[in-house]
Amino acid sequence: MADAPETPPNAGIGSRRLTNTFIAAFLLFQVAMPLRYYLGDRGYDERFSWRMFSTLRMQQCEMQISEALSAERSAFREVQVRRDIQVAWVNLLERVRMPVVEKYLARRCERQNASRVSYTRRCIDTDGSALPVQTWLMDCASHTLREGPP
Amino acid sequence: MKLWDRLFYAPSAGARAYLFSRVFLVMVALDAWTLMIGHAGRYGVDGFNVAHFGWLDAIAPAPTAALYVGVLLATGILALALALGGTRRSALLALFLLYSFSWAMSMLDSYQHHYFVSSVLLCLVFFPELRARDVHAWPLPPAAAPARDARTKPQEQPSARPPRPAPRLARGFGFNLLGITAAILYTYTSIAKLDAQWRDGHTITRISAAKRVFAPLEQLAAGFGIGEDTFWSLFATSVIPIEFTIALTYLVSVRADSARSPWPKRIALAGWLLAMQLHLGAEAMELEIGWFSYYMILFACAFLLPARVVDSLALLLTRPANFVSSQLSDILAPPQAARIVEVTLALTAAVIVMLGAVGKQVDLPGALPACLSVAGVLALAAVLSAVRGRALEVRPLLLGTGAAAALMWLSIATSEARWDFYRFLGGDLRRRGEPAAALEAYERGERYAPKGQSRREQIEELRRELAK
Repeated sequence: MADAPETPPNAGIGSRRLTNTFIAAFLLFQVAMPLRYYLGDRGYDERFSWRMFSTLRMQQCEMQISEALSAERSAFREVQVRRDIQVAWVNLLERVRMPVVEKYLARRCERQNASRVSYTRRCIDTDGSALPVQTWLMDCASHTLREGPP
Repeated sequence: MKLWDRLFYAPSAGARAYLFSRVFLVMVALDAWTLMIGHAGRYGVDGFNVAHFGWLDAIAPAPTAALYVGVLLATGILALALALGGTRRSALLALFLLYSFSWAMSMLDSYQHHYFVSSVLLCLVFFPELRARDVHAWPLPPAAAPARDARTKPQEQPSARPPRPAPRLARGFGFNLLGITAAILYTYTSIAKLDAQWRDGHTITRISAAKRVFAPLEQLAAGFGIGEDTFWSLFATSVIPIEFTIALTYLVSVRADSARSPWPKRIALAGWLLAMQLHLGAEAMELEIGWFSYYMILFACAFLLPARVVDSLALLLTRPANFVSSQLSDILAPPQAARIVEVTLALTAAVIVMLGAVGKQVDLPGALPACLSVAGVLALAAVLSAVRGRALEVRPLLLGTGAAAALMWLSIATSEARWDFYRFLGGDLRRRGEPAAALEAYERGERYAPKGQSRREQIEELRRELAK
């Protein structure tokens, strides 16, 4: 095989140095994208991390969104999320995809004249044990999101 | 630098790159048309969207079902046109951008393998540019006509054709880079499974059909005194070294054809066996991972099998490709230089008409604009080629696009893509309290309902609801 005839080499790929730079950048990207998951605080955002059949995805989760309207600052009422947005977004909300959580809560703030919007998630792990409840709260005046109950 | 050069610039059998690129492009087209389009109704509902990258949210138009369908149809046409008409770097780069936009425009598409397909398409740009006749000679070498010797038995007669020559080697760093990328992917997939829940076997038993499919193995293990929990823990844990070993074999495989030692070839073959076991097992478990297993099986066959075997497999593509090219030689390489521009423009016009007709027949939002956009780009490419005096060069792409458009209509008409699109859309609209729009979607989808899956009941219910 080593002595087999070769087809003509490719023309126009550019200089070897440029090619090597591209190869190095491409590989760095391929290594760094999944590494961001493991080194950063991206617990539930498994995009680009090659976490096939991940344990996180096998957890059974439910989420609830409730809001307090400006007029009645203390009382929270539940939002019918499935009637509000496409159901596929609900799956992403259940998986705590933070950019989706942030954008949806912000949308509730803008559209419903809410003062605070809260997100609560309850999950059962793959071994059947209950995981700690997670809660985030968006303050609509400042659009800041903080972890913890209202 | 020696190791670097060996890894990224070592030549491989041209049949590997040819087989992989052609089959992969066909798979991308079919994946886009028959699987991805069904979910297009999710896009643009009530204006809510989050792109995969913040900057894309800022610059790209808000996705709609029509935009998503349009991008997917155009992606498929381009992929198939390149598979049939021959690859070009600029067109492959455009394909990479188009496909990447299809998933990056919204987190609604969060399949990790779509990101992987984008990485593959970028590597394809730097694959060796090979035509079928670069891989296998055409016309076939003339058969020797030996004088039959009546004293020898038929099986002892000299063979009619000379033995097939060694596979031709080709260089293109994209192929090697893709092999290394596959190694990175497998390494990470094995790392991801190091967590306790996976190793305990809890996760794998919750993956759809794993318990049912591998029940005989579980029973066999029980015969050896291995309990259920231990069996699933061992089963799940065994995936980690398998994936890591496959990663190593991909690293070695890029050198297999150029190395004099037989070991890289043997290691690659062992990797093929493991990869087939892993991905066929994943398919048997009925995991909902789209065509990821099939993409990876193609990877294993193109990168890990011995060159001679891949060369033989590639014959299944190069023979028909060479035959069709020779039959179309009057159009692709006419012997006389007369009326080259006129014929090219006439071909372009014919393909444009075909794209328009297909765009209308497909009956999906965004289909006609997408087909007309492809037609516009094609017309521009044809005119530019004519102006530069290279009108002949665009003809393979023209013919490839015409064939791709016809095959697009065929694959959408024979698949459940339209049925999925309209029934999912109808269901979602109904859930969100829009009965009139839901009824319209269901009625439209009814034309494409497979036997026994009619939504007639829902349609009647919605009609009654609207009549009140």
